[in-house]
Amino acid sequence: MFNWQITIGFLKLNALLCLVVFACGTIGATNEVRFHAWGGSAQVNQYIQWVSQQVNQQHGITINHVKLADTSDAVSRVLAEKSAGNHHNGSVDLIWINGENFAAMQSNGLLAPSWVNELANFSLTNPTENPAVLTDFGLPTNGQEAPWGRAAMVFYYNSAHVKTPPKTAHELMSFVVENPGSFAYPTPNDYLGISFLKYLLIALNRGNTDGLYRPAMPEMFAELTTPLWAFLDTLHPHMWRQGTHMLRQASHMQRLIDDEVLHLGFSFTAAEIPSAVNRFDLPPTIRTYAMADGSLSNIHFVAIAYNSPNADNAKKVVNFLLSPVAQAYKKRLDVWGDDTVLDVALLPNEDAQLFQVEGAHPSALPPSERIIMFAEPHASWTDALRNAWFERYGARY
Amino acid sequence: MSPFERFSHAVKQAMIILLVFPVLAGTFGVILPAAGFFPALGFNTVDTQAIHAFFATPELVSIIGLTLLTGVGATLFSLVISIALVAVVYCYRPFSSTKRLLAPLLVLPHGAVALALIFLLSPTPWIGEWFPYDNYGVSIIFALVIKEVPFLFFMSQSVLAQSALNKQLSGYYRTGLSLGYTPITAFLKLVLPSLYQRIRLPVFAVLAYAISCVEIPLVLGSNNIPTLSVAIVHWFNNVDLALRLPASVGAIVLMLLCIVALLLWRGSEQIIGHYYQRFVLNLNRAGGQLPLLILGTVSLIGFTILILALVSFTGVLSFATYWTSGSVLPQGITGLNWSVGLAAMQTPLLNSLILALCTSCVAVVVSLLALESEVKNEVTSKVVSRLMKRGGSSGYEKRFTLILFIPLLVPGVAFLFGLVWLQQLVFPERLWLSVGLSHLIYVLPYVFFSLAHSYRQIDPRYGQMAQSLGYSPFRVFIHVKLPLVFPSIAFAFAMGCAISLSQYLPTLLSSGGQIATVTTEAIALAAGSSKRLNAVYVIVQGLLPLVIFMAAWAIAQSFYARKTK
Repeated sequence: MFNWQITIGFLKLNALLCLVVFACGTIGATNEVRFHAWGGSAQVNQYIQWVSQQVNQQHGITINHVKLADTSDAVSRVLAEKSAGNHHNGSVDLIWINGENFAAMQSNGLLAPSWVNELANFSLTNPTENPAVLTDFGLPTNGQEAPWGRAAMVFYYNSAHVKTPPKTAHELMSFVVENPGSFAYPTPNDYLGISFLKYLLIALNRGNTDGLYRPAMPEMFAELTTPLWAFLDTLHPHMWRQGTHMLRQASHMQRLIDDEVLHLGFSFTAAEIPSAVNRFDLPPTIRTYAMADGSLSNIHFVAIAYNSPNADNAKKVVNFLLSPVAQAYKKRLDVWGDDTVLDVALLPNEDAQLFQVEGAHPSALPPSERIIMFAEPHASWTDALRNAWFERYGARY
Repeated sequence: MSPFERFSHAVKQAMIILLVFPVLAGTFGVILPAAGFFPALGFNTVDTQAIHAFFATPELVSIIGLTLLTGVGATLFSLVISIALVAVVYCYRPFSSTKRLLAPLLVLPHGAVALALIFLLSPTPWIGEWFPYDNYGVSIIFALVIKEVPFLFFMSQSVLAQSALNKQLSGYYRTGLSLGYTPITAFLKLVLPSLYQRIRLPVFAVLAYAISCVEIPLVLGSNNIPTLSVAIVHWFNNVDLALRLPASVGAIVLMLLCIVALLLWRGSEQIIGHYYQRFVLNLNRAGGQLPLLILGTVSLIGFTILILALVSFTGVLSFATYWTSGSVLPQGITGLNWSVGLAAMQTPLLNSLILALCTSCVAVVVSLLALESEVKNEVTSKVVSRLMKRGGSSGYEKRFTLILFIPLLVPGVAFLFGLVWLQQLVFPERLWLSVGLSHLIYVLPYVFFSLAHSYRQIDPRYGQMAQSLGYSPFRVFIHVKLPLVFPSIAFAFAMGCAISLSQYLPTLLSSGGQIATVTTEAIALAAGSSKRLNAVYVIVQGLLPLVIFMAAWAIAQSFYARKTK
């Protein structure tokens, strides 16, 4: 009697579970796209909210923003689904990703195969001219992830003291030699410090940069860094404090520019410069620009999980994310301030104007500024470069 | 003995343990890893690897040289300048009103002084060439002198204010004048020898502090060749945990450096004392008058200008909009920095106040009870001590003073890391208790010194009278003695708060960075992008102790007003 009850109860539960799974399957296959994206920024969350409203009006798709504390959570979820044999009904549709998480998903076969070229708006990124949108920390994307936004290293200068800022690495050298003490960069322990070294490394090895996108082997490392060390050996004695006291953090560089001690600096977030001017932490004569020989850039992407039941809708969302309207809205300082991956010069006039609405701030990067993007070297170069720098120029405390 | 007497004795013993044990335990806690023993990281055997690693540090000789140079240099300059100031103020009454000016520098934390100096001096055309971050430690010495001169000055003032000594010394001084010595020469020959005897311990504390201080060289020193203390903190806080082993060796080397410097100082005292005796005995009636008068006056004017400039510049900066270099005033004013700063400061401010008020309360209670037990001690051994001390302090009192100075003489960098390791072992989850105890080690000596003088001067006959009327020792303590020293209690409490508020390293280490105070935040922001926000923090750091001191003064005043009604 007792046993029977349990058995009947168990059967009922099974039936209920089947119903739930079935229901989920049908709901999942309809019009919801589950967008797994880091949820730590209120601005980004609001932007995704806006995207959700837009795609709902245009395609009847709702976005369910699954706010991740760490992107690797979603990676391990897809991996768990794959090992459990769930190849068609995964819980992740779209995922915001780059760097090592992308590498992990790609090598484990967790991403939908080449789909990015199908998107109408992908061509607006001008991939033949901007190969950076096709590689992610040295790995070819193989059409498995679409570029979404970008951070590029921009330079800024105080126009009250500098009339023509240096536009290339070699001009930077002559600028520092002619204006001794007016430039400094943070030690490679700082993110911007190591990024500056990477920029020089790429710029000084023009036409010979293939090795930078492969693991850093000792021979290749020695060959490619030779021009970098020669450059720095000459640069350091002309820098602020003759290069003996090095900045610990990039924020200190910004403060010295405010003090009008340094006249040239750089940042990875172009949007932060006009807002520092608005906070009076930088003088109003600050102007932002991009180096003509290229800017180290760091692209973030969106990818589709291999087992997503909603791949088609997810692609529609991505196509919208790459539209001039969505990219221009994202770039607004009051929205997110994230740079566009589109080549604005290629856009028809009316679309290009979307990007020009804001940017009225004189200290901001001019919207028309053309940025040639240098992709991040292979991840192994970062540690190798940092260690070699400290070996050569001594520890900094 | 009554229970209260026994209790007060127990508290005094506890106080000695509280001061000595953490220092000893902390020192022990760095000796183990220095010997290569650090089981948590898998180093289970005692060997000399850590020592080899430490001595393989590039430029170690320069690092140690810079540490000694800045430490000894700053102490020497501070001592000479403070003697000149004391002499001028002692000999020329009109100057004495200006001594109040030095008080703000006394209560402002070291880190805040360093920051304020950067604001003021680094954009100044030719000073900015070397200040801060010069390779020879000039900036570090300069900031230390600014901070230590007021300390030695006020220590000297409190010695000279002791009535018995004051009477004796002013008798000498007047005799000197009547024999035709110029005022400062009379001071140098007749007052200074006795004065120096009594400020020797504070001078040693300055020497030990200058050698081991972290905030000032961290904010003002070059990071190419650091001082040893900065290097130690750098290694301890490194991601590479194995660097803690050479860091521990460094901490012990720093302690040895302090001992060497103290011994060198003692040795030089002997030599200088020998020549000084000749100076005292020669019949030159104006010897040293002019140079010291000039040095004292110039320092007084220099300090006055510097303090006014620091206060006004930092104040204006905190409200400034754009301020181009070379213009006297900013283009406009804004409350933006203050609203941003105060909003971000709420939690750190609350943490600072809780720590300051709690540790000061404990320190005041413990000090009062310890003093009470001491008085008893004195009464019972009255005859003996009368015979022994001839107006000076007894051997027991000297030994106790030395114990009070232990936390000020042993470099914090050296024992705090060991102490933190021990605290994590004993009470890993009690962050507040750990931080409070670390603060107390530094707060207790200052509170005790602030109370000791007036408490020891209470006329014992009040207590005897009350006791003969049937009051228990406890009621005498509460109803007779405490009201007599109430202003000193209020002042000592404020002093304890000021010391607690200024603690950087103890807070940072004991809380593992989890309890942010205004002082730790200010140092963290020192290299940040907004110096206007820094200015807000510096002002708050200066205002907090000032407000507490003023409140203490007001409470003491109203207390007396009520009593005399």
